[in-house]
Amino acid sequence: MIATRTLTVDTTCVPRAFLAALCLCFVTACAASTAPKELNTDIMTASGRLELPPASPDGSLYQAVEVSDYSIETGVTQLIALEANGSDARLAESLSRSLSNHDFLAGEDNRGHGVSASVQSVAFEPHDEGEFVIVTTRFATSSDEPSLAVSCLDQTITARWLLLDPINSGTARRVTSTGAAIALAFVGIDASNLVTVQFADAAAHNQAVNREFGERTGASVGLRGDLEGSRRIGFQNAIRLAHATYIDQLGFCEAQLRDAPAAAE
Amino acid sequence: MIRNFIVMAALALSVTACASAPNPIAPEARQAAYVEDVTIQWLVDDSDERDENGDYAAGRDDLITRLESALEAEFANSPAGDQPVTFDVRIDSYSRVNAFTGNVIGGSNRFVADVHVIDAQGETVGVYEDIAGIHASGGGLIGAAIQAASQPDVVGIMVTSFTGEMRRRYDRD
Repeated sequence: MIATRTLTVDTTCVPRAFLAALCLCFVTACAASTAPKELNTDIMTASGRLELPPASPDGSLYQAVEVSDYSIETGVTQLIALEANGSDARLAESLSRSLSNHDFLAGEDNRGHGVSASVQSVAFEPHDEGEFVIVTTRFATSSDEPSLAVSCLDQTITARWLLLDPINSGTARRVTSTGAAIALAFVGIDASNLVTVQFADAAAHNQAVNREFGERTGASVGLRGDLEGSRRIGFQNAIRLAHATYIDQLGFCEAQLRDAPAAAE
Repeated sequence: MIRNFIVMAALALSVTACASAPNPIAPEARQAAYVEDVTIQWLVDDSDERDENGDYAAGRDDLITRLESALEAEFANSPAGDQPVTFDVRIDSYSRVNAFTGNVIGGSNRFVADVHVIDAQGETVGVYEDIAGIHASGGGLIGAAIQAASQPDVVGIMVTSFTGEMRRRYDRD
């Protein structure tokens, strides 16, 4: 004969406020690991912080480029569960702002050489401490002006962003985040920005990685338990690197033409 | 217990009051900027701080280092303009309490600072006033026990709280 027992838990001795705080804690912890599905224009924009050389006022691309359109393959949006609506516009805005920050964007009164951009592929490559998000973007001029300067606008750029795996970062970081969620839940403060601490912790590591892989590769810490969200963040950072590389190449190409004017025309 | 609720309500009120303050910098100027540097100024009058629980000085030094790093990381890619600005963080209030005091008696680990946004010419573009970094607790004896067991990263929580509030204030219309 098998004896059975029913286990009952008396919760009346546990303060309701504490239970509520625990529930809040779980909700907050979930919120902390979810990245938005919409693209962030700022993250994808090459700002002055990157210290790229601006367009030369003597060059033919100085304030003479405009973004005609920017597209992203459906397969790419599905791969990283990206919100498709508005993505094209945000990508175009980020490229326009990148060009504007470096004096390549045509003014409102001027018609510039059109550039059509498209995200052609996203790939993921394993790394010892996470994975690379590799984004290939095609930039093509829609201008029919037959000049070498305009041909500088045609480029295909591949950018790589390393997502560091937060699980490999050690127990201390996980405990830090959990403790933060508990404490903040007591006063109802949203802890969704806890990733900031992880970014701060990884700052020194990022610098080392940047030195290792070169200027156009960067790194950040991925989100725990949200692979697609982490990849979306990696994707946007890779797009910023692609825009930075494009601007760098435009300046380089234009300088080459200035140094060899006879060959240019 | 009532005192804990009063403290929490006061904190909530202070957060609400800050949330309603207008943004001191116009949207166009904010979008045109990028954060080139973060500096921290310690303006707290703590010369006679006795550091009875041993956390004060270590926490202060840790806070300064990590706050600078966290703000730089948070604002590294946003805003994304072409005009460099510096965030000059002026900390004028800082308090630390241990787990028992924070949960049972009342009080919180917190610091308050004004963030001056300064452009390349050294001119102040705007000031975000009274931004607080808080590690608050009001869980009574159970909360104190949890905090003692989990050993939360108090400085990290305050820094994260401050950085998040600065982000919200900067982005608000």
